Amino acid sequence: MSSSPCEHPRSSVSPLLPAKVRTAKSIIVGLTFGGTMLLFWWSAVYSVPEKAVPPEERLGKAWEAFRQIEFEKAARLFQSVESSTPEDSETHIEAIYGEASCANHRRSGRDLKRALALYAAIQKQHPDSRWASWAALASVRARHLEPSDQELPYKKLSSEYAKVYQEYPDTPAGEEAFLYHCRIMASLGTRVEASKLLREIVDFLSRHPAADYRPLLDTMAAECYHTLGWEKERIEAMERSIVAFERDPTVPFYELSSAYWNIAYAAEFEAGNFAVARKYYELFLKEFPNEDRAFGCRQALERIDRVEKALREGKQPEAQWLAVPCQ
Amino acid sequence: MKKVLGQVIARFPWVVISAVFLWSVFSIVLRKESEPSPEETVIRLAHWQLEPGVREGFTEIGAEYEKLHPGVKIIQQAIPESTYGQWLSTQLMGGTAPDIVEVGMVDYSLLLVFYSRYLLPLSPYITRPNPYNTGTEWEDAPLYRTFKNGMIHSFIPEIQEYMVMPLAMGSVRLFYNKTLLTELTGLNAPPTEYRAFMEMIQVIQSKKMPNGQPYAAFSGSRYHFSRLEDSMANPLSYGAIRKIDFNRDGRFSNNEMFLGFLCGKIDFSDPSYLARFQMVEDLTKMFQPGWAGLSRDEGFFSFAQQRAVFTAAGIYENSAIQSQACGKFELGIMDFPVPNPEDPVFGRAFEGRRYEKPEGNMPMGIVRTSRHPDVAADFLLFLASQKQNEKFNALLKWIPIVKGAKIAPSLQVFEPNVKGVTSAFDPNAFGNSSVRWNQLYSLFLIHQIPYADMSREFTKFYLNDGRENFRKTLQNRRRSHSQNEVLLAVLRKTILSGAEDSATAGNKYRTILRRQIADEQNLLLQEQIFANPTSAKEETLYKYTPEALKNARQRLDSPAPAGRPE
Repeated sequence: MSSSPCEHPRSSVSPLLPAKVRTAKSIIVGLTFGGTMLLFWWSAVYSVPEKAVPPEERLGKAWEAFRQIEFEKAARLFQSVESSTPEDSETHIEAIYGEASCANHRRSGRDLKRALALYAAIQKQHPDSRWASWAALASVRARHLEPSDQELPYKKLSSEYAKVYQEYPDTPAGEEAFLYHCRIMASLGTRVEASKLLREIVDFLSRHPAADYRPLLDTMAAECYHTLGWEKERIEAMERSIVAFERDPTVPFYELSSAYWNIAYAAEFEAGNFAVARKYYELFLKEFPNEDRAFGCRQALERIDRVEKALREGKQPEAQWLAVPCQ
Repeated sequence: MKKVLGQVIARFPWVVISAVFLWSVFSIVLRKESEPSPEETVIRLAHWQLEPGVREGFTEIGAEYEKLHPGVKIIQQAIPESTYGQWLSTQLMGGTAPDIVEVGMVDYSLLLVFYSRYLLPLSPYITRPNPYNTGTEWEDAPLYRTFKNGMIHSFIPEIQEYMVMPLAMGSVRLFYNKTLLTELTGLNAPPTEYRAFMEMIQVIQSKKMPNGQPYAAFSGSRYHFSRLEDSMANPLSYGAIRKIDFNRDGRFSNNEMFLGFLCGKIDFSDPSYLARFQMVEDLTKMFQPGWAGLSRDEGFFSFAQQRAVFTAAGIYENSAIQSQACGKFELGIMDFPVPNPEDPVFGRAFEGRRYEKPEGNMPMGIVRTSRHPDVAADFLLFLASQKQNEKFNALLKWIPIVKGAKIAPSLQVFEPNVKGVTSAFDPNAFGNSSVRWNQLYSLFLIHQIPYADMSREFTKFYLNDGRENFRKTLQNRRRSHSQNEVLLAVLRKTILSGAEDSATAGNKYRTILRRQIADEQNLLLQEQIFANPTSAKEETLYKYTPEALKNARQRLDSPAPAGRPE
């Protein structure tokens, strides 16, 4: 099958091709190029430009892309809304907030500086917008959640959250900021700070009697009482927190099992109120019999019986359950 | 004749090519014939369950559904487990995924992306009754109440939606060759108490096969061993919870274990851990030689070939094992043996059998690109109805997940135990610590390193390199808070827009916020212990404070009726 040395290879482009063939080839190449250009032109002219879609609709798409963690696309859409809406319209401000959120939350290429600048711009240029309070909260949250090798300045963050609440006391963002302030202080506060925080919580609840987050605040108040060593008040606050607990069958994750467990534990080991401890261990078993802590509840009920029996008989409970060997 | 044959041989390549061509034309025509007509609504379903019975189950229930809904066709695709994750990712990203997919076989972080981008939330169906339960006790009950696990594991907290519908339940049990057991030990059934069980194991190991080789008590690999470890050894560690449950939530976490080691509240000399590892050492001696290097399938051979009496297997392997045994030997299934409270080594550490989370198997989700999402959801509801779920699981020989669906008496042994204890030992966390642990533990399992050396080596690594890894873990946890903030921002927008679903969004918003606050509390606590482990060592967990006992005494002496809340 070897070819003769005199034959020209068939597939190669030969400079010896007749002129007509070469012309034809040039025409084909030209037409292909021209056709492609035409296609580009057509798509540029006739395709629907992004800006032709109403800004509100684009804003919706931007948030959808944001929800789907497609930050690049979301940021582009937010920017296009910004450039096509009046500067003081709520849509425009919402788009800035959206763009800032993209810069703040994107996993790769997080641009905290830009996010903070945009949040600050909202607060400065549109102080009356409903997004201003959210921007104020977001700028503190952004610094709180910033990846850092250093220990976070919690007390500073706490006072920044408190400042957001003071600036926007009657807004959902302000209330949320107050929650974060309480969270930090309830965990890290000294006895004096715990006492101060209790006063702040009481004041907050008197100003916002219908607050959605009352159970959370009661839980944090309970922590303050614990810090102060007021176990009776602690248990009362914990019980109040479950009375106001928002039950939603469509959200099973935050059921009450943990709240029941926490009250029962605190009542048993730290307040010495066995009646309350029993009540909540039993409630746990009744409402969550298949939970992984149900075994612990059954054990606890038996333990309380034994300890109570020993106390009635004037004896010491088993040493393994005592924080201090001789009590 | 010879001439014709000669001609055929001379034209052999052409004959083969023509035959292949005709065969392909025939196959294409046949396939076209079996394809649904354009008028039909086709629902495609993909899963990785290649075990016997599953495909038949889907086919039968699919046919039942097609009968009820003329014009609908159910087509299933069974994809091998080993390639399922990759296949699913490609199909979802390419927009070519079937209408219904079994969700899993990929990392949880990727799964979360799939949930938010490619799968439809099933939440709208959760609070409505299942129309296929009409005429049953669950006729008016919301869907989630009809599931044995309340569908709690179908709810994805990061997305705040129900994303999957499980179709069955399962557990792991001991399978044994009853014929061989009786032949070697004279017993009709194995003892359920640990010591008696181990004595029986020794009897089995002392017996020899006709070729002079000893019988193995257990057939298995590292994969099978981990099932024994989870079911028998890990529950012994439960008592450690009371020493390291720093947030007092009644649950163990690997972070708490690290912090417990760091502040000196616990170490490998803890009686719970000593008992756990003592049992692990016992269990490794029951396996055939070379077990640690075998694959899952290789590990099973000795049992199938009747060279070993026991193996540990899941309910999903039940049918396959039954068919292997069929006509060869009688098969027995039992729960794992447990020690007596009086056991000299394990008695004190043993507080109960292991807890089996009723998670639900075969989690099915609907893809966003489905052309008929309502029909796909309707088919899932059909599969999750009391009658069909019972039928489906009877075909699979698995446990139905729907309440009231009857379970075959032979499968009752697989009913998950929800009244047990959890494990309180898990060093598999924080990057290199996991790697180091696996290296040392592998050597321990094959008796190449004694417990004392393993624990000393690991503790050294855990507290030095592990410290840095833990610091990074704490930092990374802020990332998950940041992910929640994304969801909060979207919900905030919905609430502020005053849209129809703003009330639901408000509810979800508060739920996520509560979680952010609770996580923050945990994180702050762990950071405090990490920064100041000495103070954490002084904390008394699960012990009565002097004040508590004083109060309890006073209450008992007071006239208020004892045992009643005040």
